[in-house]
Amino acid sequence: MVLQRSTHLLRLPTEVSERIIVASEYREVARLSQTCRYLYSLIYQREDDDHIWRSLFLNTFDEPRKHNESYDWKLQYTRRIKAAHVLRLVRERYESMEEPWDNTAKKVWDDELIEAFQACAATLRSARPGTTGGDMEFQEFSGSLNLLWVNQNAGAHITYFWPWLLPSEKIAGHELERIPDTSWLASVFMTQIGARWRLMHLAGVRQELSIPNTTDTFVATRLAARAYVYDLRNYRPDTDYGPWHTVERLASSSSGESQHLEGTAPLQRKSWKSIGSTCTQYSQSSSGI
Amino acid sequence: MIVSLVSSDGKLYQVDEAVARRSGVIYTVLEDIGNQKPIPLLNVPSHVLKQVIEYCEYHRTDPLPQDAEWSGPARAELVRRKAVVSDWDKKFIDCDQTLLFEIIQAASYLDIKPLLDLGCKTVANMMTGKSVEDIRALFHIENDFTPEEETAMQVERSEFESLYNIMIKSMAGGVNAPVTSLPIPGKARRRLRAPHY
Repeated sequence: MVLQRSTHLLRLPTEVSERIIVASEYREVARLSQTCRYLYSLIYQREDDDHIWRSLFLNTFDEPRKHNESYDWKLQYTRRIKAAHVLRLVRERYESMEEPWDNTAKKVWDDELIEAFQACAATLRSARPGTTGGDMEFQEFSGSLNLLWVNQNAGAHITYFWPWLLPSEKIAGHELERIPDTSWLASVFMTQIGARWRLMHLAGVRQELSIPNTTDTFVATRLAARAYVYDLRNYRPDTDYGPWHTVERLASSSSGESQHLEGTAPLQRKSWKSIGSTCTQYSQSSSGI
Repeated sequence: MIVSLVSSDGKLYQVDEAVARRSGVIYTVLEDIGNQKPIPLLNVPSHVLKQVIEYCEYHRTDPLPQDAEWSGPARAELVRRKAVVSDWDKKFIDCDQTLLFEIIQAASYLDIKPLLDLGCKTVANMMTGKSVEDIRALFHIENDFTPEEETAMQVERSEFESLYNIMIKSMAGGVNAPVTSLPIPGKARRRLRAPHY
């Protein structure tokens, strides 16, 4: 018995076509899905089978640490890819820019960028814990694909996102020439989602420390930041029983944050309970890894 | 030790056991029934089997792939390593499309994972940067969408692109960035209903 040989893409066994799709980049996957019905249904209409999207996701990102069977691989993957796309467009805009951003041009990008920053924050949140082993090439990001991705798409080009990081009066003053350190990466996410303390925990950010971009310092500072977060001695009345900054200080540190806060929580509270609820609000508003 | 393999058109090939064991299927056969009899490969014609043996002989000393590695902490390194294709492999897989698909089929049938990955990656690379029409032409895919569906997809593509066109127009200098369509589930995507196969 000789099985029929097929030398056409559409007549390959399904598992082989899936392998080809998984080996492709997202752009080619999107285009391939639009060539014919069979491929469209193979890629998009697989109600109980998310193998393709899961594999595509895991080609680029770490395994999300908290997930169950209902994790929407497709949604999370497309969200992050779109974020990278938006960030790239802003970057290119910046590179071709002759004059600084004006507020009209900036406004057009606001919504898209907030979504992109949130996707970055979600990516940071689910990054693999740092280790010191591994390839030299990867040591810099302690073996985490997520950290590598965020750094490539946002961290390495943080200057370009300046206008979204600064209070508006500073933009008017054209302070764009100043080169920021990478701790501004943290500020991006903090401004946009108000989750400063989360970043202390996740990326090793403290007010006095920047996000370091060298091998040794990254692991060391994150360790220090986590030790600080977990140290109960830092939960004192004068820190509002939290290692993170008080909401008042958060609010006054940037106009973007205060706008965010005005809508969500009263600024004058002192009790543990209300801080807890504020933080819960933040984590809820920024959840959905 | 020599293993005899018989292609689907009846040609006999004799290879070293180490070479034959690159294939998961042959590995299992050798474990189960030994190498006294020639092993018939019903799904692999001789011109493909010749290529596959050439690949296996070149890679005879490589470590066999371990599935367990994939979930371990070294995954980041593995992802990167997988993306690197050696010069010999590139030259080997540089053949016409018919033979390429036949090699992929054979690698899948014989369970030779590195060769299967190489073939799939090569097909994926062939699509890089090509438009929908280009991909159709490349793989001789017939467009079986109805004109309405085709229009819906074009609308979807242009909806997405127009978002970025607005953004690009807001730029002072303008940007020559290629605007691409992304697999984003949107209104237009839901509008399109292709039949379920």
